[in-house]
Amino acid sequence: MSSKLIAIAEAVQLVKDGDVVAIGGQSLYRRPVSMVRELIRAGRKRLTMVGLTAGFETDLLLANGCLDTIRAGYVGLDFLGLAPHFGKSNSVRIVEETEASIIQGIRASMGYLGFLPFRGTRQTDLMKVRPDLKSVICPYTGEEYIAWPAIKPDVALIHVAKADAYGNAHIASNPSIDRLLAGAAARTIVTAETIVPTRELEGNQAIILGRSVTAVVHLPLGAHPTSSYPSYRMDVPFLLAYIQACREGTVGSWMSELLSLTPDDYIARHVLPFREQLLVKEALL
Amino acid sequence: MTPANSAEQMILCMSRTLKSGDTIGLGIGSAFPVAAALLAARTHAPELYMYLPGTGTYSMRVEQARLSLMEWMTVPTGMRLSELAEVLTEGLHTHHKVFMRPAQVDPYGASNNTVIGPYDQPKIRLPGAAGIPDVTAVYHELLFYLPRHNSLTFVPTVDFVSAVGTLPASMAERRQAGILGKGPTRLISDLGIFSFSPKGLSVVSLHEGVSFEMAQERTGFPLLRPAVIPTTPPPTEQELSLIREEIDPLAIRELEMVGAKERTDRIARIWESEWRLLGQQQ
Repeated sequence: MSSKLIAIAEAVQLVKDGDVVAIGGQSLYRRPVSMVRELIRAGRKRLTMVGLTAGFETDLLLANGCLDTIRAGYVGLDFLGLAPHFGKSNSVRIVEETEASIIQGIRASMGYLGFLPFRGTRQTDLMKVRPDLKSVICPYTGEEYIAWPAIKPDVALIHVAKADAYGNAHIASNPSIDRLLAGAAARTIVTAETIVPTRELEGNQAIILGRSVTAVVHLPLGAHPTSSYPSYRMDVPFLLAYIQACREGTVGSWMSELLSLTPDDYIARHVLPFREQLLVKEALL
Repeated sequence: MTPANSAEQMILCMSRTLKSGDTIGLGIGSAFPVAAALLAARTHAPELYMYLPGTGTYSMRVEQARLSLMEWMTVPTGMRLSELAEVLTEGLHTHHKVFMRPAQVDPYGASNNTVIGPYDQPKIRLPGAAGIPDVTAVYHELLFYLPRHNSLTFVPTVDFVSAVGTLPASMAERRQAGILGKGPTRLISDLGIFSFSPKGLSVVSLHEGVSFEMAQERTGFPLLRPAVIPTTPPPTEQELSLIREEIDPLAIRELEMVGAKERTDRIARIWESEWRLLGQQQ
């Protein structure tokens, strides 16, 4: 039996400075926040963040100078507004993306293709800020499509509701494009609310198959303050406090406190006191 | 019953654009579209497929709008959980509509969700265009909604073209450039209903109490004025009651009307209300 279960400290070693890191989830839903905090704590630098959307976890990476490039179709905090640190640093390169550019880029990589086409971006200003982009003429219809280049992440970080020791993983709500990120990335780290025997995933419950996964970490509350359905809901007061700290200029000390905590201490301080309000499932604790 | 406010008037207009058999793509952080879709599904469009990007479901029944609990509202009653890749690349064969809220829009419907100011040194870096450039090339009907109609939003030229509008006008040129449709169909604002064309933005109707002069004053380019300007029919008492009491009792819709600071205060209050609602349900 070749279990891929490792401790988070070991998982952090799988991400190197300069890596292209694909982050799973969707806006304020099921982001691998604990894993990202551990990367920041370990001092990872010069990372490229790739995702369909980028949220609180990416704002933390930006605030701590971990990124040199960001590639996502949407960078923000959903109904909570703008990501406070996005677009604030001249040393972070923003590669303008759309949903299709990320999706087709990742699918191209999974399909061993150099690109996948999508319609209609040539007329936008996107082409002006993406000198790397090329278009193709459909050999059958003569229409022009954008040729979105393959995107090949070095590592994908995905947080899930349940996984077995091989990395077969069940996601209970929005799967976003996590299965694709796991397939395209050279290495995939799955963090899971609970680890279950493989049999519990039978009945076709795996969204990601373990064949795409390098390592599995048992990381309850690993998405906090984002939502992890059905295990807990998003922590809106926590996110509001973050935004307020950014507005008041006190976010430095707010983040120092956060980043001084191990995952267990973080749970004890920032989650347990609010477990009723966050609807945390008892079984997780 | 107090008369409809701007939010309710707009939600009603948006809801009327939806028909049974439609698929409506709801954007990130969009409260009006959710309320409009829920209202349509409850009234004249029972076969409405609502795609919710936060929760990932195609849903036909969503009881109420929620802020932090949308998964709890949509996953158990959803028809299909869908990867966004599927929605974008495979969902195009149906009558797909989307409500978009751009930061800027020009007279011909070109829109901007990328930057305010020059791209290399933006005054405000916005979240990014997300799926807007992609869907404007392929969806059958594109509907803009703008809760605060003003001349910062309605500009002669957008700072960055995130998505094309009704120009180029030639369908042949559009097809060759990979664009399937004519462009944005309607814009609904707190002042009225408007439509884009290669000639510019014209008034379709103005809401009660709104004059053409008021609308023009709040638009940063000349509006095209028809000979007769109808008044937008307001919501009925039944529709208002549905919105206020059944679909969005937490008034999440109000978040789209206010600025950043007030929005965070309201969000804190809605969080408390959601919690009390949970307590009542147990």
